[in-house]
Amino acid sequence: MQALIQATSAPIDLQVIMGQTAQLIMPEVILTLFACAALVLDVMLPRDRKQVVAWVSLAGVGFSLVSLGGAYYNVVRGGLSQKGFFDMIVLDTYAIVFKLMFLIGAGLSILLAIKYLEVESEQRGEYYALILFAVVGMMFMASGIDLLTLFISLELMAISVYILVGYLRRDQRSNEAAMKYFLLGAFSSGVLLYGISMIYGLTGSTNLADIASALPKVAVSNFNLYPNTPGSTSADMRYLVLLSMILMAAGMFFKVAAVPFHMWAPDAYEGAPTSVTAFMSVAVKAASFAMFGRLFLYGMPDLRTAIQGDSVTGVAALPGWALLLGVVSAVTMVWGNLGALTQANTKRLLAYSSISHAGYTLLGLIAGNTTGYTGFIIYLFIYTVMNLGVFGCIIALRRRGIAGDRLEDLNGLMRKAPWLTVMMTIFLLSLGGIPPTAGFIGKFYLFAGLIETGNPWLVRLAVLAVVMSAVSLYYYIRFIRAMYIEPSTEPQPIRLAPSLQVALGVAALLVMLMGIFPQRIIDLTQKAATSSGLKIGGPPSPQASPTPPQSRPSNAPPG
Amino acid sequence: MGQIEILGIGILSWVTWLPTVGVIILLFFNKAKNNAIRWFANIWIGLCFLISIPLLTGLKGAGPGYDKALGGLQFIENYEWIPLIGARYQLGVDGLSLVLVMLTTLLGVIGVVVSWSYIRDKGREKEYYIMLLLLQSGMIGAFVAADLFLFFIFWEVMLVPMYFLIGIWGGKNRLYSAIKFFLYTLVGSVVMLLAVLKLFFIFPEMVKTQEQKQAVLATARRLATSPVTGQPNVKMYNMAEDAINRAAANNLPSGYSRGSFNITALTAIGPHIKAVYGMSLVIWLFIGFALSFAIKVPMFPFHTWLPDAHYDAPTAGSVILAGVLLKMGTYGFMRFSLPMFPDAATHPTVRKVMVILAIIGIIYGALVAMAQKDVKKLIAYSSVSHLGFVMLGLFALNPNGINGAVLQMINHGISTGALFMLAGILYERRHTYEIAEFGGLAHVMPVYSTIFLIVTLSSLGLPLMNNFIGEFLTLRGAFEANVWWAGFATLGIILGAAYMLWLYQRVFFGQVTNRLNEKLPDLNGREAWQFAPLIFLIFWIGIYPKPLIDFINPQTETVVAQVVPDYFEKSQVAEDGREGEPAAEPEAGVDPEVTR
Repeated sequence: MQALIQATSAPIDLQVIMGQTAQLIMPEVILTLFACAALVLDVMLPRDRKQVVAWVSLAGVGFSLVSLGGAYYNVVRGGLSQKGFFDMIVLDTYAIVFKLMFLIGAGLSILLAIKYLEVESEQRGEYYALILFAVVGMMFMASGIDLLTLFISLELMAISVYILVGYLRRDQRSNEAAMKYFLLGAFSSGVLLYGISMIYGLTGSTNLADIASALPKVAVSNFNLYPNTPGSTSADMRYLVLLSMILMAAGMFFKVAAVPFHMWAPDAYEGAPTSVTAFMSVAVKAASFAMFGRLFLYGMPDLRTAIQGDSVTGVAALPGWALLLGVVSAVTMVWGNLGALTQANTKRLLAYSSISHAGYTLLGLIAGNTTGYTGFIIYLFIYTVMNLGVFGCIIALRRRGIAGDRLEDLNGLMRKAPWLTVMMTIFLLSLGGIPPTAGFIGKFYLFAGLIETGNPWLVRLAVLAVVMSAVSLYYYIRFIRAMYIEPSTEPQPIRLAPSLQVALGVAALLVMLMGIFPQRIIDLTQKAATSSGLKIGGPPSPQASPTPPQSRPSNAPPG
Repeated sequence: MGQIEILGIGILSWVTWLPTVGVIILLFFNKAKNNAIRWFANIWIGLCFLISIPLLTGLKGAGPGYDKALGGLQFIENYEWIPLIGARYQLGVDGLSLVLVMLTTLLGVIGVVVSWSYIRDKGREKEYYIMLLLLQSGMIGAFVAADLFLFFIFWEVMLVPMYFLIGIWGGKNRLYSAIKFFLYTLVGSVVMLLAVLKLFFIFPEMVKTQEQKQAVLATARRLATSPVTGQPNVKMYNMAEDAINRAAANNLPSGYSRGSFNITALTAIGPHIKAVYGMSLVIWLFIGFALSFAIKVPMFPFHTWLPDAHYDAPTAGSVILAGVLLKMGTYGFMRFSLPMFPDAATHPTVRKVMVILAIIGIIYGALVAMAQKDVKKLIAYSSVSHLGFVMLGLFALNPNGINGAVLQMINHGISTGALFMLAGILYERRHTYEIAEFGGLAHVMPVYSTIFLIVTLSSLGLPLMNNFIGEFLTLRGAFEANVWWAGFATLGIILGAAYMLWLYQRVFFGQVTNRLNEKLPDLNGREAWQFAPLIFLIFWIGIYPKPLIDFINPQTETVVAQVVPDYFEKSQVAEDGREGEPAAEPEAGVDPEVTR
C-alpha cells in the first residue's frame, strides 16, 4: 500500500502494469472479459437460446486455463518476477494450484448447471456471468498478498455468490437462504475488516510481507513507539495482536463454515439452487482457504506457535493461531459429522459433511510442516472434484416434479441408472476416505502432517480425526444403502443430459486417477506448499514458555 | 527361488488382478443374461484358482515354484509407484502368505460355486459376482503386498464388497449387520493408518547414523536368511536394503521420499525402536496395529460384529468371511505386530493381556455357542472360540505355538467354511436356521448327514483330521509357555466337542418330528462335489501335515527368532523334540544373529 502511494505520487509509469506484469493477471483478465461478454450476450439472445451463454462462459474458463498454463511456464518455471502491481499480487505455485482448482470447479459447475437451470426454467445468462465474476474474485484471493486486494476480491466473490444463492426468484427457500447468507456474510466481512484494520494500525502496512516482518517487533509485552523520547511509556500490544488475529480468523472461519460460525451453511446449502450449492461448497470454500493460508502462513508465520512473552519480566506467552485452529478444527469435525448423522435432506447432509471437511482441511494448517501444507492444498483440490461430483449426481436426480434432494429420492437408483450410481459410489467413498479413491490420499497427507510433528496433542487430534472419518462413513453409507439396497420408491426414469455426463465422468475419472496414481498431483501441491509466497513454519520459539501444549509442536524439520 | 512371469507380468500380479479383470469383463454383460453371467463367473474364478497353482508347482518354461528351503519373500515384483511418499508396487509371498493365498483362491472357487442356486433365487446376479470377484482381488492383494501402503489399500478395499455382499444379499437384519461390520473394521484400520504413518516417519530417523544403519541391515539380513539352509534370499534382502539405503541417503533426487513402506525394511527397524524412542512408543505402535487386527480376528471384546455379520451374510459371504477375512487379522499379527514390535509382543503385560483375551475368547465363544438355538449363529460363535486358539498359539511365542496357530488358521478356513456351506444348504431347503425346526435329518438326507458328520468331527478336533494337528501344536506351544494357559485352552476343546456333537444330535438324530422335513431332498451332484476338495484337505492335513508345515515353518522360525532372539539358543540345550522338522535348523536360524 505504501508502495502504491509512493508510486502514484510520482508520475505514473505505465510500464509498471504493461508487459510481463500483465501476465500475472492474464487469466483473470480473460475471465472478466468473458463474463462481460456473457452479460451482453444474455441481452441479445432470444430466450430459448440462452444456453449459448453457458458455452461461451465455458470457453472463457478454457481460455483462462490455457493462459494460466502459459503463466505457469513463463513466470514460475521461467523464473520471471512473481510479484507485481506494487507487491499486491503474487503468482507463485500456491496461487497457480488454487486457480487451477477454481477453474476446474467453475468448469464443472457450469456443466452441471446447464441442464439444471433448464429444469428449473431459470436459464438466464447472468448466472454464468456471476459464476465467472466470483471466480475472478477467487483467483485474486489466491494470489493477493495485500490485505486490500484480499478483502476486495473476497467481497467480489461473496457478493456474486449471495446473488447466486437467491437465484431462484420464485422459490421461497432460495430467497430465505440468500437473505441469511447475505446478512451473516456481511457481518463476518465486517468482523474480518475490523481485524484487518487493527493489524494495519499495529503494523502500519497492508502488505502481508511487511506485516510479517513488523509483527515480531510489535507483538511484544513492552512495545514503545518512541523508545528514544524520554517519558514515553511502553504498552503490552500482544492482546491487540491476539484480538486482531482472532477477528481475522473468525471472518475466515465464517467463510469456510467452521464451527462455531457454521450456522448459515445448512440453510444456505439447502435453499440455494443445487448447482450453486455445488459451486459454493467447493470453490468458495477453497478460495477462502487459499486466503486463509495466505493470511496466516504468509502474513503472520511468527504467531503460529505462540505470541511470545517476556522471560525477564515473567510475562507469560499468549497462545498462537495453531491452538486456535486446533480447537476449532476439533470442534468442527465433531459437530459436522454428528450433525450429518441424522439429516434426511441430502443437500443439508452434505452441508454438514462439508463443515466437517473444513475441519479436516484445517488440520493441514495446524500441522505446520510441508507435509501438512501439502495435505491442506491436496485435500482442497481433491475435495473440489469429489464434492462437485456428489452434487452433480444429486442434480441428475432433479427432474420435473421431483426435487431430488431427499435421501429417499436415491432409493433403488442402481436399477434406474447404474452408471450414475457407480459414479456416486466413487465420490461418496472418496469423501469417506476409502482407498483407492483420491479422498484417501488427501486424508493420508493431512494425518501424515500431524503425525510427523510427533507432538502428542496433535497425535490426539489425528486420532480424533480418524475416528470422525470413520463416523462420517456411516452417513455416506446411508446414501449407498439407499441406492443399492432400498427398493425404488418412484418409477420416473432418469436421463442424464450429455453435459452432466461429461462433468460426472471427468470428475469420477479424476477421483480414481488421483487415488491410484497420485504422484503428479502430490508433486504439484508439494511445490505449491513450498512456494515462495508461503513461509514454512515460524522460527522455533527461543523461550521455553508455558503455553498450552497444542501450540507447542516439536519443531520437526520442514521437508 | 520362485519366479514366474507370464507375458512379462509376474505371477502374483496375475493372481491378484485376474479377478478384477473378470469384473471388468462382467461389466459388459447384459444384466438380464443371468445364465451367461453365472457360467462366466464360475469359469473365471476357476481360472483364478488355476493360475495360482504354479505358485506351488512352478510352470514349465516360465519358472520354478516356491522354494521352501530358501523361504522368505519370493516371486517378488518391485516397481515404482508413488516415489514422493516412498510407496512402491511391491509384491511377494512367503510360506505363510502362500498357503493363505492358496486357501483364498480355493475358497473363492467354492464361494462362487456354492452361490449357484442361491443367487438364482435372490437375483441381481451380475452385481453379486462383481462383488465376489472384487473381494477376491482385495483379499489376495492384502496377502501378497510387500509394501505397507499397498497392504493398507487392499485391506480397506476389502470392506466395500463385503459390505455389499451382506447388505444386499444377506438375511433379515442385513442392513444392521453390514454397517456394523463395516464401521467396526473401519475404525480399526484408520487407527492402524496412524500407526503406519508414525512408523513411516520414524523409519529414516532409525537409520541415521552408520551404526544404526548397520544394525538394521543386519536384522534385515537375518529376516531374509533361510532358517533351513542358512542361505540368504537375495532379492528380498535387496529390496529392504534399497529402502534402508534410500532412507539414510543425503542426496536423493527431488521427487523422491526418504521414507519407505517396504515391509521387510520396516520389520528390520522393529527391534531397534525401543533403544531410540523408548518403550512407550513401541507399545503405542503395537496397540495401533493390534487394535485393527484384533477387531478383524475378532478377539474377545471386539467380537460382537462377527455373529451378526456371519448370520446375515449369504452363504458365500460367510464362507469367505470365516475362511479368509478373519485370517487377515491373525495374518496381520504374525506378519506385522509380532515381528515389527518384538519388544511389545514380549512385554509381560502385553502378552498376558493378549493371552487372557484369547483364552476368554476360547471359553466364552464356546459357552455362547452352546447356548445358541440357531445353526448359523452357533457356527459363528464357534469361530470366536477357534480364533482364540489361533491367538493363543501366536502369543505362545514359540515355534510349536505359531506353527499350530497358522495350521489352525487354515483348518478353521476349511472346516468352518464347510460348516457354513452345510448350513447354507439347510437354509436353501427350509429357509430357516432354527435348530428346533430340524431333527432326524439322518433318515432323510443320508449323504448330507455324512458330510456334516465328517466336518463336525473335524471341527471338534478328532485325531486324523485337520483340527487335531492344529490344536495339538497350539496346545503344545501354550504348554511350553505356561501350563495354565494350556489348561484353560483345553477346556475350550472339551466345550467344542460338546456343542458340536449336541448340534449334530439335535439336527440329525432321533425321529423326524417336523413334517416339513420329511421330503427334504438330499444333496445333488454340485452340492455334494463342492465339498470334495475340503474333505480331501481335512483328511490330508490330519494324516500327513508335513508338506504344509514345511511351507509354514521357515516363516515361523524367522518370526520367533525376531521376537525371542534367544529362544533357539535355549532350546538347543534342552532336548529337541519338535515333530515334523529336521533337527538341525535352529542353529541356522540363529547364525546371522551371531555374526552380527
